[in-house]
Amino acid sequence: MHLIESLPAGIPYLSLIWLIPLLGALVIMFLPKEQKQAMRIISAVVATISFGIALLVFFAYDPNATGYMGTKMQFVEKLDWVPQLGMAYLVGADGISLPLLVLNGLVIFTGTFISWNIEDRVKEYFVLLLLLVVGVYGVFMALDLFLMFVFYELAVLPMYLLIGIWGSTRKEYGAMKLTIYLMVGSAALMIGMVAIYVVGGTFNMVELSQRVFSLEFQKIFFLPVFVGFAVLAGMFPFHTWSPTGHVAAPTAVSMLHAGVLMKLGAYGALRAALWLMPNGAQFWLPGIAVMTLMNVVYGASIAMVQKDFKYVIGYSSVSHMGLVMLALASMNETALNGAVMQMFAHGVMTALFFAVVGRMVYERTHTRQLPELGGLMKVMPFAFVVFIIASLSSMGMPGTAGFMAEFTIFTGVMNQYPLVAAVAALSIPITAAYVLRVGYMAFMGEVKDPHYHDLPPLTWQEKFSGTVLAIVVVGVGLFPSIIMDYIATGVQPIAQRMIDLAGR
Amino acid sequence: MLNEFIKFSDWSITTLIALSPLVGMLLALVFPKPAENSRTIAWGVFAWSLVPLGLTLFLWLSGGFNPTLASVAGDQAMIQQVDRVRWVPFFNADYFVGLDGLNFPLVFLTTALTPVCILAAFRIKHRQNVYLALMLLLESAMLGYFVSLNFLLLFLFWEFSLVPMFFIINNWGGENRRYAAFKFFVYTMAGSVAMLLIFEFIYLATGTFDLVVLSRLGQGLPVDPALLAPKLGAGYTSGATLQSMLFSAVEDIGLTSILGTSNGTPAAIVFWSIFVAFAVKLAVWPLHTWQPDTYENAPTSGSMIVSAVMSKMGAYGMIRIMIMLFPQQTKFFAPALAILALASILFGAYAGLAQTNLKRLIAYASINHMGYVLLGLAAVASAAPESLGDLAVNIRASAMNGVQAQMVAHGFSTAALFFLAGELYERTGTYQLDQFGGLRKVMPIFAGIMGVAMFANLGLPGLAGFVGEFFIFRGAWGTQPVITTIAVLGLIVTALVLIRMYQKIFYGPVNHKLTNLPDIKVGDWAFNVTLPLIIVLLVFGIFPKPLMDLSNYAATVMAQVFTNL
Repeated sequence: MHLIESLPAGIPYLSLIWLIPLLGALVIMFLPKEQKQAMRIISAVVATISFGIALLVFFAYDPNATGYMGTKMQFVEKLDWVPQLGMAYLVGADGISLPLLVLNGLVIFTGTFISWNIEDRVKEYFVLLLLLVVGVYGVFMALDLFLMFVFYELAVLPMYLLIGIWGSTRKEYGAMKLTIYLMVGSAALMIGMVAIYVVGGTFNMVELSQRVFSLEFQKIFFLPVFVGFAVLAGMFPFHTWSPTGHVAAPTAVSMLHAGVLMKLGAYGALRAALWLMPNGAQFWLPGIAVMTLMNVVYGASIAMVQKDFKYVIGYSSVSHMGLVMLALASMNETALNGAVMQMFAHGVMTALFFAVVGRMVYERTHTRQLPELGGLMKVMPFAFVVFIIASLSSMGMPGTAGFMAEFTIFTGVMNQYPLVAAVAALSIPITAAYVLRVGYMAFMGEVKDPHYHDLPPLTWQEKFSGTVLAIVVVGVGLFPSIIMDYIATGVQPIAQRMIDLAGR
Repeated sequence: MLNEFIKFSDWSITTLIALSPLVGMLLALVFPKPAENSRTIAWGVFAWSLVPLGLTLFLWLSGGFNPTLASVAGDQAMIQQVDRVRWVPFFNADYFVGLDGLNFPLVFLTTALTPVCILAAFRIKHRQNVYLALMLLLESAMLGYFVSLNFLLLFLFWEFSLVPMFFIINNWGGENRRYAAFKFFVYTMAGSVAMLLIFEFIYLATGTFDLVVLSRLGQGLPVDPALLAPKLGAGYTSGATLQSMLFSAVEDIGLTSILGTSNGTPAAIVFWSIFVAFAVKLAVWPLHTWQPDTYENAPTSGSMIVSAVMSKMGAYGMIRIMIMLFPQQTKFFAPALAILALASILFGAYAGLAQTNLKRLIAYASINHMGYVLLGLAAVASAAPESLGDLAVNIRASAMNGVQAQMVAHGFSTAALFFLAGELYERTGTYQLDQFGGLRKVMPIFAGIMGVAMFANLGLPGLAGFVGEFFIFRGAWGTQPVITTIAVLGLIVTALVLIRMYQKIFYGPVNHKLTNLPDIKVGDWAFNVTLPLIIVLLVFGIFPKPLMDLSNYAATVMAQVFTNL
C-alpha cells in the first residue's frame, strides 16, 4: 500500500505546486507597499506550502507502478488547450522530475528567508521571485513541449528585472547579457520545437517519445533543441552569461539561478532532446562531450584565479554543470542517473554557497574581493561551518551529496568515454585547491579589517536556511538511496529507449 | 555461499567500535563549558575515548574475535563480527564492516592510541573542545576505514579522514601550518583520484564494490555469480578472475586500440593507480614530500596520531586492496616495490642525518620505518627462489607478520617520540637540536623515558620495534636477498640518526639557558601519557605472541596465495 494510494484522488497536486506561488504573487501585488513584513510572510508561507506539496508528491510516488501511457509518469493531469495545434496542459512527474521539484521547493523555501532583509521595493521583488519559481516548477512538470516552453520563458523574464534592479556589480550589463543569451537559446529551441510539431503532429512529449523520427530529421533538429537548452545550462562556449549573471544578481536570485535555473537547461536537454531524438543525439554527442569537458576543467581552472568571491562560485557552477552535461553526453543509464543526481546535489550545494557569500558575507562586509576579506571564521563561525560543508560537497568529498553524484557521473562517463573521464577527473584536485583557497582567503587567517569584529550577527533566518541546506547536503551524502532509487526508476525508461534505438 | 567465508553472528560490535567516537564528538561540541579553566569536557572526552578501546580489548580477550578461524573451504581467514546492511542499492553497495586478522591489530592500534593522544591534547588551550571533537571524528574515520569491507564505504572514510586532520593542522599547528595543511590535503586527495577512477571501472566490469568478493575473484577463488552484475565485458564465467573480467571490459569498451591487446598494460595501469594512492599516505619515496612538513607543523597530539595511525592507513590499503585484489600484479611488480621501499629506507635514514629540527628528524625516521613495511609487503609478494622450496610459505608469512607487528610497534614508539618532542618544546621553546644539550642532568626521568621510546623506534631487541623489523628482514631475506642486504644499511644509519638525536639533546655540556627545566615526575600528566606507550613497547618487545597471534593465520593464508601463484 503505497502512499500514493492513500492520497485523495482528484486533487491536482502538481498544478497546486505552481498555482500556490502564483496566488501568493497576486496577493502580494495587491498589498500596499508599506506592508513589507506581510509580503515577506506571505512569500514564506507560499514557498513552504509549495515545498511541502512537492515533498508530499515525492514521498507518495510509487516507484514500482506504471503510470501514464505506459511510462513512469504519475500525478498526471491533462486539459485540452489548443487541440488544433496539438497543445495541451499536460503535467506529470517521474523519478527524474520529482527530485528537481523538491530541489526548487527547497531553494525557494530557503531563498525567501534569505531575502528577508530586502528593503527596497519589496513588493516587486517578491512578486518577480515567485513568478520565477512558478516558471521553474512548470518546466519540471510539463509533459507538453509547448507548455514547457511557456514556463521556460516565464522563468527567464523575471530574471532580467530581478538582476537589473536589485543586483550589484554591473547589474544592467549582467541582466542584459543573461536575457539576450537565454533568448537566443529559446529562439533555437523554438525552431526545433516547431519542427518536431510539424513532423510529429503533437506537442505531447510522451506520445512523441514513442514515435521514431527519421535519422535525417534527428540529426538536423537535435542540435537546436539541445543547444537551446544547453545555453541555459552553461555549456561552453555559451557559458559567459552565467558568471556575470551570478555576480550581478541579488543573493536569493543567485541561489535560484545557479541552484535551479541552470538545471532547467540540463533537464530540458534530457527531456526534450535526448528523450525524443536519441539517434540524433548519438551523432552529435561526442563533440558535445568535448565541449563539456572544457566546462569541467577550464571552469575549475578559472575559478582558481578569481579575486571576487562570487565569481569563484560562479565559475564553480560552470564547472559542475559541465559535469552534468558531460554525463548527459555519455548517454548511458549510469551517467544519466549521475546527471540528475548532480543536478540535485549541486543545486543544494550552490544555494548554500550563495547564501554564505551573498547574504552572510557580502551584505555585511560590502565587499566580495578576496584580498579584502579575511578572518571571517572568528566573526561568523556558523557561516564558516556551512561554507565548509558546501565546499566538501563541491570537491566531491565522500559523505556529502556531491560525492555520490560525481562518482556516478564518472562511472557512467567512463563506460562511454574513458579517456574523457580521466581528463575530467583532473578537476577534482583543482576544485579542492580553489575551494580551499577561497576558504583560506575569506575565512581563515587574520581579520583583515578591524570593523569586521563589529559586524551584525547572523539572523535566525540565515541560520535556519543554512542549516536546512547543510542537512540536506550531508543527509543525501550519507544516505543517497533516498534520491537515487527514484532517479533510477525515472531514468530507466529513457535509457531503455536509447538502447533500443541507438544501441547504447 | 557467503557464509562459507563470512561469519554472520548474532551480535556484532564492530559498528559500535567504529562509530561510538562520533557520539563523544557531539557531546564535546554541545556540552556547555562549565568554567574557563575547567577540564570537564577534556576528561569526558578522554573517558569516552576509552569506550572503543574497551570494546576492542573485550573482543580480543574474551575470544569474541577468533584469529585462527578459517573459512569453510580453508582458502581464507574467516571474517568475523560482521555488520552488513543495504546502503546504496544503485551501486550494489552495502554498509559492510567486519574484522579479520589483517585489520584487527590496526583497530587495536587506533583505539589504544586515541586516548593517549587525547590525554596529550590537554595542553591545547585555544578552543580545546573543538579540537577534541575533531580528534574523535578522526578516530571514527580511521576506525571506519580499517573495518570497511566495501570499497565505497572504505573510500568514504579514507577521504573523510582528511577533513578533521586538515583542521587540526591548520588551526592549531606550528609556523607553516597553512601550507602544510593545504599540501597534506590536496596531495593525498590528488593521489586518490586515479584509484577512484580505477574502482569505478572495476565496478563496471564486475558490478560490485564488495572487497571480499573482489579479493576472491582476484585470487581466482570461486564466487557466487549472483553477487556480480557486470555492465561491461563477458561477465562471470567459472574460473574467471578479476584480471580476466577487467581485461574483457577493456576490450569491450574499445580501449585496446590505445592500450594494446596484451592484458599486461591495463593491469599495470590499475596496479600503479592503486599503489600511488596508498603510497602517498604511507609516504613512500618519491611521494613522501608532504610528510615532513605535515609532521613538523601539526600540533603535538596531531603529529602523534598522524604518524602513528594515519600512515598505517596507506599500508593497510595496500594489503587489503592492492595485494588481495591483484596478487599477480603485485608479484610481477614486487621488485619495483622493493626498490621503492629501499629508496624510502635509505633516503629516509640519510635525510634524517641532515636534520636540525627534532620533529623533522622523527618524520624522516618514520619514512625509513614505513620503508620496512613496504619492503615486507614486497617480500610477501615476490617470487621465491627455487632453493627455498617448502619454506616459501613460512618466509612470506614471516614478512607479513613482521609488517603487522612493525605497524603497531612503530605506532606506539613514534607517538611517544612526538609527545616527548612536544614536551621538550613546551619547556625550551624550540625544536632545534643544537639548542639542547646535557639535559640528562637536568631532567633524568625525561631522558629515561625518551631513551626507551628512542630505542624502541630504533628496533633494539627487547622492545617492540625489534619484533617487526626482525620478521620483516627474515622474510625479505628469503625472497629479496639483494635488496635486503642493502636495506641493512638503512638500519644502521637510522640507529645512528636516532642515537645522535638523543646525544644532542641529553648529552654534552648543559646549555646554560636550560638549567632550570622541570623534569617529568612519576605520576604526573606527562608521565601518564607516556606510561601506556612504554608499557606496550616493553611488553610486546619481550612477549609479542599475543599481538602476532592476531594476524598470524591471515598472514599464513596470504602467503599460501602467493606461493600458489
